Amino acid sequence: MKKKAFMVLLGSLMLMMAAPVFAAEGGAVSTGLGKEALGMLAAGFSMAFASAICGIAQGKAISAACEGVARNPGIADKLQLFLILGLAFIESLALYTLVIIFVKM
Amino acid sequence: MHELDSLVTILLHHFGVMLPDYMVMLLFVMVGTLVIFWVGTRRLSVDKPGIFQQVLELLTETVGKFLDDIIGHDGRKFMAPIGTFAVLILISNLMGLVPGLMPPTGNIIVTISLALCSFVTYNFLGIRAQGFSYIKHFMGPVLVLTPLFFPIEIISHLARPLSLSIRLFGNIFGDHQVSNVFVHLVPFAIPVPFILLGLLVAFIQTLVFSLLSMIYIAEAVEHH
Repeated sequence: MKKKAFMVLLGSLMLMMAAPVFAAEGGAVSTGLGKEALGMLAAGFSMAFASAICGIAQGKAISAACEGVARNPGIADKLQLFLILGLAFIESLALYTLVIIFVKM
Repeated sequence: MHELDSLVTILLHHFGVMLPDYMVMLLFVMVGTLVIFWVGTRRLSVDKPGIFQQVLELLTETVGKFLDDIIGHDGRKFMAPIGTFAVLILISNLMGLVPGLMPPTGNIIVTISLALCSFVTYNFLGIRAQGFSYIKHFMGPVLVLTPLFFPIEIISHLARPLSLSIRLFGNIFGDHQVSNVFVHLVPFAIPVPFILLGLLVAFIQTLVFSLLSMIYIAEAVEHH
């Protein structure tokens, strides 16, 4: 399982490296990617990473809250407050990335 | 990505009033809220409450219940600042869902000023409640650890307005952008879920901002 994931990661890394080669195919001179294109790539990837990992974290928080309510339905109201607060804190981490992207673009 | 102006701002620009969009929208919210509340609260009655009075009572009771839960038995003293934040931010957020208007909270300047208001308020209330011993909040549990704790506490207190403002701004702005993109992609039926999501975000961000302000105030006024 770990090996497979490593292979997928390596493959995607190699594909990323190969992008300038595709770009160079048409023209006579190899220009590579411009600064703006690189910035856009970085923006997309960073937002993707941020939201993916933020999604995992929020999923963990929600699943723990659901388990808690399933065991003791009486605390649902109190738990909801903490859940919303925690989700807001987790979400703000992804939003920092969004803000940085908009500042840098 | 170009910024769109609201219809009110465009109208004002025609008349030669060159104000930035967020300022116009914030003034719009303030004047609108004042007028609505003034007209709505002229005829209050105990026997026969109107719809608007019931909505207002619901709002006040909700904020009061949260204050009781978080700050304690004398929490309703702080109804004024927290209620102001809640009403202003809620109406500003909901403004993003009206076509032709922009949410003023989707601008970083507005949210930074709101967060600074919250910061000043809780520090002022803490100092008023405890006087000079408010500084004990920054000194850690024992005196030996004070040089270690002091900078950390200062930084964490300064990070609060930053995170408050960026959270509100990012949520509202991001949500507005997402629904904007989807409206431009498919202008029929597809954007509806995103608008519903925007409604949810508007309420939740109001809750989060007021809740965090309450928690900061509760932390500041409690005695060590």
